[in-house]
Amino acid sequence: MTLDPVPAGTDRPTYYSSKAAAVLGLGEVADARAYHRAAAAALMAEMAATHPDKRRHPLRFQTATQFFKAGDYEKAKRLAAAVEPARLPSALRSVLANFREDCATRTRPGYADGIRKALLHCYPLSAWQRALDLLAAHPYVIEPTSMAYMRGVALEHLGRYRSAARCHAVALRNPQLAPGVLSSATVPDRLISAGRWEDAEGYMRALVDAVPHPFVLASASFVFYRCIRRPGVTREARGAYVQAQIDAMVRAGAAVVETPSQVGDRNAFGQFLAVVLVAAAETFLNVGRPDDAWRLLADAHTLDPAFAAKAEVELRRQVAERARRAAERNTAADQDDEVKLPDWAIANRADPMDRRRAHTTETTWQNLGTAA
Amino acid sequence: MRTSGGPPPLARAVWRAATAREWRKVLSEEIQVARQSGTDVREIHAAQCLLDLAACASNTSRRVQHEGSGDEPMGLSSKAAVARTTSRAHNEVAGTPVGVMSALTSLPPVRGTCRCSAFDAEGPMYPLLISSLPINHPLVGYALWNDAPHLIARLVHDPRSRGGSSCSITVDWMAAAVPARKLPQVFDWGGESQERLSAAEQYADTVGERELTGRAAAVAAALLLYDLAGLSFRRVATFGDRGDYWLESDAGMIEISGIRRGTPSDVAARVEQKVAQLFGNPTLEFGYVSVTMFDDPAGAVVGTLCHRTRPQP
Repeated sequence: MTLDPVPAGTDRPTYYSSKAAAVLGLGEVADARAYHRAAAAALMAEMAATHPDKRRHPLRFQTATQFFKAGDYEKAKRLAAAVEPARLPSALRSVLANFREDCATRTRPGYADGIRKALLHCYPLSAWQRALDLLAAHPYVIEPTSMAYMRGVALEHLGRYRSAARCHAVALRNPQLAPGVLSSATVPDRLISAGRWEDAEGYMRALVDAVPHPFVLASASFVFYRCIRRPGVTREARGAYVQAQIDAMVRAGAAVVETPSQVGDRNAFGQFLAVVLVAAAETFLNVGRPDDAWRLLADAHTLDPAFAAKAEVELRRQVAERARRAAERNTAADQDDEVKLPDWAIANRADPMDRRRAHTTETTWQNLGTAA
Repeated sequence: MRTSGGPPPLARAVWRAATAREWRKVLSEEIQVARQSGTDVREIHAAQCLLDLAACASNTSRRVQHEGSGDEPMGLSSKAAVARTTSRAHNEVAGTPVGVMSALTSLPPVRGTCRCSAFDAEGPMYPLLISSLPINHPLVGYALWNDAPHLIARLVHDPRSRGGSSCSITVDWMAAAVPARKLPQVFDWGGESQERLSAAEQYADTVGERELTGRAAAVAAALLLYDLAGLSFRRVATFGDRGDYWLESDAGMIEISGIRRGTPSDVAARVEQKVAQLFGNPTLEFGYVSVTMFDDPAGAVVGTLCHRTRPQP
């Protein structure tokens, strides 16, 4: 990576250290490490140019802390060992002693395993805040994308959805984590089922912003579809949700049907996507775009043939019925005379995905906790 | 660091005006020049901002109630207003405050009336802008600006965070040799980009409590020190210097502390502890201790700034 140039006149170690903290908070662990190392290098240069031992030892200690923050615990330990306590102001000697202890702890062979085990225990206990605290305090134990995934899951459980979405965006850089990350896109659907409409919509929109993957966009279209059916929704809001559903499905594009193969989970992902596509087909029929609707149904057939066939029969029956009614009235189809999938097509159709998501999350968490 | 061309020329002129005794006259002339030249969009925006500034400066002048009001050099409070108006103008034009801040950073500091002498009890005259950090602290301001989302993360969920872009706080200002005063103040991050606001939101969930509070307290201290004492941070202290930042001369330092949740007695104890620590440095002639408590028993944010000179033996 290329380090940000230091603004003229600005103290180099201070600037690099602040940049490191800024990027570490965003989960960019490699960048944070590079900035802390640059800060340490700048301090080393300052130390080399400093003659009185009185100043050199405090500087050495300061350099050691930057290596520590970079996760270079061995280097930090060596430098801290070279600091002579007698050359430090008395108030700093106890700080040095504690720092040496921290370095010793983090260079012991069992350190990383201990943190992983602690993280592992957080899952069955639902100790999500504890997991977040552990990851903040020990940012170099878990591989960065895996750490982002764990954070995303923890934040999701704590209801901090916008931060969760941003963590998932980092996690998705690792293709192996794709099943877990993408299955989070079905969480808003579960939230709707629990009556948490605002949370569902908020999380879905945050996910679309942070992770604009075709599967996420398709899931968003389904959430907006359910919002259309929300009891008490106003006509204006309904119109906005219809447009949002169409936009999301158009953005998702034809590539979305490849997701189940890409993540190696044809059953759960395929079944869920088939529902999403059928729901979108219903909306396209209602807005007068039948060609798009039948194309989506054809895609749904490739994912879950039995369900798609049943849904298509139902939709075609309703379309024919609507046309017959319009002919009787001798007018075009009434705007309010819409086709509507029966509940069997929608209700609980996301269950397999939900079970899959729970399983994926748990196994991924366990793998991350036990992997060396 | 990103820059986007030079500063708006008018901003530079405003800065010159800030040092002039007849600053209103200088401002008026510059406004006329801006109106007449009018070829650069930035000039027009800056001119508009200057009108706001003139009103703001006039208000400041009334409240300061200097003799011969209007002919005094522009105070530091007005300097902050310049920073705000010019950076907002630049925001509108370039979409980033960094360019103008970068440019203004290279300008000489203005010494003048600082807020501690200009303030009255009516309330804050202007908010303390996060975006002013690189201007008011030319040597470490960018590092503080990097840290600023930590402060936003600490404040954005506060009930006093109005509209999510500013937060009312209470400041205990304990200046040396004058009675301590409680002042209302506002931290303002209205000019921050969406990217930095998102970062702030995420820090609240991904940065450890101690780190978050510590960095937030440093930013709060920088804003308060400049506002109340007119002083800038010069460089980070080396371990063992007994403080956190050296100020504009090596005779002064500031020690900074943050308390996530506590009581006034916690703050008082922390201030005394830090004052004692600070004057453990034998070279120090004066020092400041800043303790920011982000949640007191009444749920308020309290910033404490204490100024002490070395006790006489």
